[in-house]
Amino acid sequence: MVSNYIVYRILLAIVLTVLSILLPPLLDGIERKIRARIHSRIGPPILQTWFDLAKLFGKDFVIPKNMPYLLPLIILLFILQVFVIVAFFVYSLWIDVVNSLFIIIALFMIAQAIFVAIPFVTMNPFAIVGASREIVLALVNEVFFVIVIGLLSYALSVTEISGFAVTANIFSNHMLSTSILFILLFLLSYTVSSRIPYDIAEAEPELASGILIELSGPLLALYLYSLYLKRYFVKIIPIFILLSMILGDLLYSIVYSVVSVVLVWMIYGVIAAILARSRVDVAPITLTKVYILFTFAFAILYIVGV
Amino acid sequence: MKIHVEKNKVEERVNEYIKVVRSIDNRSEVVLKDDTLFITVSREKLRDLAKVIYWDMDCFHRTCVGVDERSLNGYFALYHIFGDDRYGLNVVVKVYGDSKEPVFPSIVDIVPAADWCEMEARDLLGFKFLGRKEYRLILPPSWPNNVYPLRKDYPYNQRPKIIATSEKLSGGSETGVAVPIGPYHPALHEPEYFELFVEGERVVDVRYRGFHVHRGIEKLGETRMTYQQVNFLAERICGICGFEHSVCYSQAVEKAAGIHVPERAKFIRSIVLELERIHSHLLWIGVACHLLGYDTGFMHTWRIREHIMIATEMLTGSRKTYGINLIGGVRRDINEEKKQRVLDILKIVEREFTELVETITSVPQIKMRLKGTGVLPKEDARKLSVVGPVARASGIDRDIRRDLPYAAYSYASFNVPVYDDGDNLSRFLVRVDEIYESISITRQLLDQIPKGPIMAEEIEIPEYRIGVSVVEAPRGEDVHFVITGHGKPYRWRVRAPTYNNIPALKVMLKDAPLADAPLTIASIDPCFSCTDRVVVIDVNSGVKNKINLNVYGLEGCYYGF
Repeated sequence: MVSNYIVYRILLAIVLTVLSILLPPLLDGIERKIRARIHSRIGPPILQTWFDLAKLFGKDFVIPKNMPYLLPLIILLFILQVFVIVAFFVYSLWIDVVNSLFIIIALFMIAQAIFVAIPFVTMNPFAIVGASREIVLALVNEVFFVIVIGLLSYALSVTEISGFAVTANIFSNHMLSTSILFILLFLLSYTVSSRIPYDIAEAEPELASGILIELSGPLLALYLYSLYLKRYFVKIIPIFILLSMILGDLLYSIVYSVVSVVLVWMIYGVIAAILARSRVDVAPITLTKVYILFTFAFAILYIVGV
Repeated sequence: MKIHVEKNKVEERVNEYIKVVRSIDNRSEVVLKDDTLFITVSREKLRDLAKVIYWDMDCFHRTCVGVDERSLNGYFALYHIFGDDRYGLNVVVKVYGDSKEPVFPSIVDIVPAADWCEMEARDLLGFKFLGRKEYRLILPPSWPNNVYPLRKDYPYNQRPKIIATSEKLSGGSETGVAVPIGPYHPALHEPEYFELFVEGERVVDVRYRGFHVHRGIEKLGETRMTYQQVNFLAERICGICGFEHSVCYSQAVEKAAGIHVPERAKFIRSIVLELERIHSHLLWIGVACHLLGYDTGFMHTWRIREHIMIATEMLTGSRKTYGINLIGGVRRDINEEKKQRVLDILKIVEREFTELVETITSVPQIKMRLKGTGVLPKEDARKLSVVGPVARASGIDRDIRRDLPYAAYSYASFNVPVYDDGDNLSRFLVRVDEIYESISITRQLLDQIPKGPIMAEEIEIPEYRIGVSVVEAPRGEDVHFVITGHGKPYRWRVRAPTYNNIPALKVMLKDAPLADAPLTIASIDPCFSCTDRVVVIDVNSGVKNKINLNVYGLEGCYYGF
């Protein structure tokens, strides 16, 4: 009976992993469709992002001159992004390890560093301006993303990804302070996903796609796919932690998380459609103020004990 | 509000001009014809007169025109066209140049707005200007020296031998890093090239190279077409506000020839002009939203614009490039049914546009990025004689529809929106207000449209008469200068509004964030192809004319800025 249960979990981990790797382009397609409806357009079919990727993969494989590191970096980026997703499901459903939460976050952060490094190796002025903007934003968003995960880990005394399922008691004792952290974490999951108003590294009208400008064909496809995977990961993490604490069941939490990502992705898509692009000299300062405010609020409430 | 300048005040003003001109050059000629004062002075006195007219009498500089009049009087001629908008006058100052070596004093240090038109006359007619730095503005570097395509002895179909050369714009970045914007860039919908020198994300210097899209329109109009055919060519100067050019050209010829246009035709012209303004401003607001990353605003603005396109299709038979204008009137009438349908459409547009503007201005990033960016101070706007919404957003109260009323504008009551901040928000608000004013004007004109013919009965165009026409296009004033010829214009000069507004971009872009550069460039609502309309360029010589715009290719070359 026990062995059947383990096999069942392993199978579920495999299915959810494969699903989670294949799902993000489809979710992007649905988001495009919803955005089109808000724009009063019909919009492309929901599989359009997949069609775009397939088309890009079918294009000539061109590596720009004098950019020997571009290909290995993009492959490494894609592998890391996939591995972050794989690790998340394997640790949560199959074999968890000590400090698995931090291992996943560390892998994610390495991938983000590669994300930023790639435009620099292309040596295009637009890409470099875009990459500089990405660094400024990452120093605020990604760093706070890690800090907030760390604070949650501290507040709930959890260092393993599967540990959140047994934190309902702690959560109930510090509901207010922890809720503040969750609001901040969801806010961060939006800002980290490089959507409007924080897509300033890409900023198509001013930087001609900035960080993407030198990429084409399969290289662009891999980079974009990595971006979709990143968006998926930064959404599923806060959803999973929240559901684990509320439901107290790892299995249900993970399954519902995958389902909930679809909903959250669409909500984020709608938010992006009703906002305009910010500016690099404004966005990081505004975001930093907001993050610090939330963090202080959490700290005070946590010390007070609520 | 309409400003009705009293007739005696205009007379007083004209007398003032005569007095001033006589005091500067007692051999000068001064002739008033309709709303245009023609002054002929000696070359030596041009600078003195330009200074008095531009600064002391507070006129704007519309443009200057080089003309090869050797076959008429044995000379070259240079016409500077000033606008005394407050008194509803065009002031045309003519000087003669030697037939072998046309040398003129430059007025660019007195009138900075004359920079480009002087260099255009240099490129296309071989004029020399004393007392200024000269540079090639219009022609590509591969164009041979001493070949001047707008001279009358230069056949329209002659192809000079081109030696392929590369044009390298940047002389290196003496300040900051160069970021190329153009000639093909998502923010530019036509090929132009801006080189922005940045330190970090701050623009510290700007260089501009335009005139990539030469279509030889003036030469074609002067050589291959009849008077009426030029109407249709003029409408193709611009894909957005072409009807303004067509009307402006027709009016220039009508003024030169003294043709009486029926009132009903004038009303139809004004109605279509205003519908074109509405669609153009809606188009711009959509583009501005897109550049700010607010595609929802972009899409909905263009959705509303679609109503106007349907209305113009109903009135003229075409969504754009209407082709209804002729010298002497229009080709298509408006009946009661169409009139009512246009009124219904305007009601829908007004309602939907009001809702949309409220939504757009409620987006926090939109206001934040429009306010205080791309500032053009009033002094610079005045110095450069900028036009249209760009001028009005910088506190300059000028609108040709009110100041030199043409077509049926004297029958409509309307406000001219003026804002003082000179930033992108002001230019946005001017255009928003103008859409409402245009809706109001269209309603008034539809309500008052008189009965009668839509074409003049007799059209006779005597030779060698001059007509100057100014029309308020969505981007500012179009200026058309025509010297009538035999069956076709002897000289046809076009000045699009963007021509006067582009030089202001250097002021607007400097010391501003790089992120705002596309929006600021777009805020003048640039129409580059309207500006680049001048000369026939070889396309069939078999030699490819490559222009290398690689930012890394460094070889000094000075343009405009």
